Amino acid sequence: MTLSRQDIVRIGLGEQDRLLAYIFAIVHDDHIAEDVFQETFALAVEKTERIHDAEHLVRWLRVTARNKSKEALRTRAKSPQVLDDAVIDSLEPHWDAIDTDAHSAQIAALRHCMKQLTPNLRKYIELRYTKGLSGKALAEATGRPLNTAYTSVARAHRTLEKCIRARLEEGHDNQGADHV
Amino acid sequence: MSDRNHEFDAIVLAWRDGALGDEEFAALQERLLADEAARAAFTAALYRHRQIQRVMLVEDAPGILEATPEVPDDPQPESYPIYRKGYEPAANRMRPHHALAAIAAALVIVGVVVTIALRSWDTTPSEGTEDPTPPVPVATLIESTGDLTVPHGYADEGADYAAGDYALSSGRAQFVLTNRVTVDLQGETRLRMHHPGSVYLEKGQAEFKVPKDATGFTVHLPDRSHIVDLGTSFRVEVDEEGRAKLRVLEGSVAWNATDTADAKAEPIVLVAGQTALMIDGVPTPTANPGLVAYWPLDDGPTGATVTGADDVIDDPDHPATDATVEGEGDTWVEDADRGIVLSTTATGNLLAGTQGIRGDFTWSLWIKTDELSHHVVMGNRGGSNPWNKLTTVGLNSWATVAPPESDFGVADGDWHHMVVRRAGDSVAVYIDGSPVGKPVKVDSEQNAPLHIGGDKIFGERVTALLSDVAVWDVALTDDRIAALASGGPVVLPEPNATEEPTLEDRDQQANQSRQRVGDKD
Repeated sequence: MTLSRQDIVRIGLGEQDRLLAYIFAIVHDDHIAEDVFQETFALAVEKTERIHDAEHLVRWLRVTARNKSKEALRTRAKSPQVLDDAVIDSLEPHWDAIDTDAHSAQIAALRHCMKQLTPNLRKYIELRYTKGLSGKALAEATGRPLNTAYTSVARAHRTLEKCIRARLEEGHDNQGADHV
Repeated sequence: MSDRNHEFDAIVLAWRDGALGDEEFAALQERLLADEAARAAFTAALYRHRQIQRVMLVEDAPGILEATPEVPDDPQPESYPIYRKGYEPAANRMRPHHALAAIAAALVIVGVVVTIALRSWDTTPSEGTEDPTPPVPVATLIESTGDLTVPHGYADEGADYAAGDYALSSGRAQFVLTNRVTVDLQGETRLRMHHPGSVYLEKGQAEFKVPKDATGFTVHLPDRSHIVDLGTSFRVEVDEEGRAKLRVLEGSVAWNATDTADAKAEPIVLVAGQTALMIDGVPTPTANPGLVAYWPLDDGPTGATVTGADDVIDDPDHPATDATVEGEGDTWVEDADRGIVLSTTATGNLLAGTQGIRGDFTWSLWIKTDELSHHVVMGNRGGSNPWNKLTTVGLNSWATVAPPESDFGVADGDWHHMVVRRAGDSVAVYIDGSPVGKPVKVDSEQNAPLHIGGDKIFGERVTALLSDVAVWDVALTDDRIAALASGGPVVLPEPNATEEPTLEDRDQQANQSRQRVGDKD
């Protein structure tokens, strides 16, 4: 049994966030990560006959993405802060632990929780992610020390994570009835 | 490490930015190898970062951003030091003053690097670390004929631009992204480009041509759905209310609605020629893909001399091609079966424009005549080759072997439905819903103006009543042709239409069609 092209697209898109985070952990470059993701995704769509089922697809995407990431690191300018292979290996089981089954609900909860942030934390999140500011630019934009900028974004992350977890446990976004 | 904490997350974020010093980076690696909780926190932080990045790509932040102190502009694109290998931006030719600036910047960076190297490991990112990841170009501006606003500078053709918001107030602008995706903006359009592989179309019209190795290119939309390329070209329009319309020009794409919690629908895969709208959170193929022109030929009033005929279909690619009259003698008449119709004579015909058709097409019309002749019922001969010419006895095409002429059986004084359909390199004729004769081979594009009811140049005008002439830029299916022949409407009701069309009442259908001008598919 193989997956249809439509199945590949659906499952692949559900995996997009985890896979991009995984690739970034290897290549340490957003653009290379996007390229590797696209190459991997294109290959999956093209080679549907190689994919047996959803579980196989997730494993296949991961292995292929890692191979292509390594290939990209060999052929492109490499960031000086690429993690060692031993570190990448040690992270593998933790990627599995990330729950992507509730992906849509997580995104909906994230949107809701974003609105629950304090104005100050939301400002940091917006500057970081809407304007794409690095920590240094963020510090300059807010007039705060660099440490404060990073810690504020980290605090916003953690607040969002708690909120998402609580919201999912309450079952709010599983039905989508109160989607914001 | 028993639990995640802000400080460690801050270090991960700083690593993500490439802002850690060497010792800090080494310490991070050691910690990840030694501490399982740190590994869990690390992967969770990167995953959450990605999710927030995606959500924020399509979120507006009115008010807050404006109230935030402005960040100094980044350097001009030419001075960005980081380019992806194998990518040579057109504008990456450093000018003398830029070279001096680069040397100065390099000295500053070297100094900072030395400073960083001397810093000891801390649990928080280093204060004052030079940001080593300035904006990287994501797009090259190829052409702009309108008023274009780009991030970090002026809109210069050939220049490279970083991630940010691109706003076109009028005209057209074409970009090539670093992954060779071509983006054409048309009219008032706002596009947010964060990565070459992922953009957000906030408003307006954009056409994307995606090379095979960039499959997976994603367009996010205001309704929180996203379109994923599967190796193709496609056009997306987003109106003022954020409603999106997708037209696939080549290949196929997937439209995914799973970003919305209330839309559990599977992504739909659309192929060339198909159009879809987002309806109640679900991508829905439209009912009239490829319908580019429709002349109901009921303009009237009865008895009036024909001066032209209204094409009730219009869209950006196929502007309405209202027909004009050539010659004289054609009139509007009342028919017992079909209401007001065109009575065309041996001295007049209609001339409609081209529809920009380059490949497959379908012509459809109703005819009532007793003339068995080589005179043109509908055709595009005259002025340029190649052409097709439909008569009551056959179909002729330029540079092809004409089929054995035969009596199509339409010259009996009753109404008949005629269709010419090109599918690939073959053109076939359908009479009353069934194929007749032998298909004709064609090997080139046919895009000359259409003649309806005759051909002025060659004086080949048919005497007949004509009604409901329509053109599609796709090959209609046999079932669709059969439905037309059995009296079905040319314009099918869209999925979101609240009123069912009245099949029996052709006048009402034509009126409904007129109301859809600009919303053909």
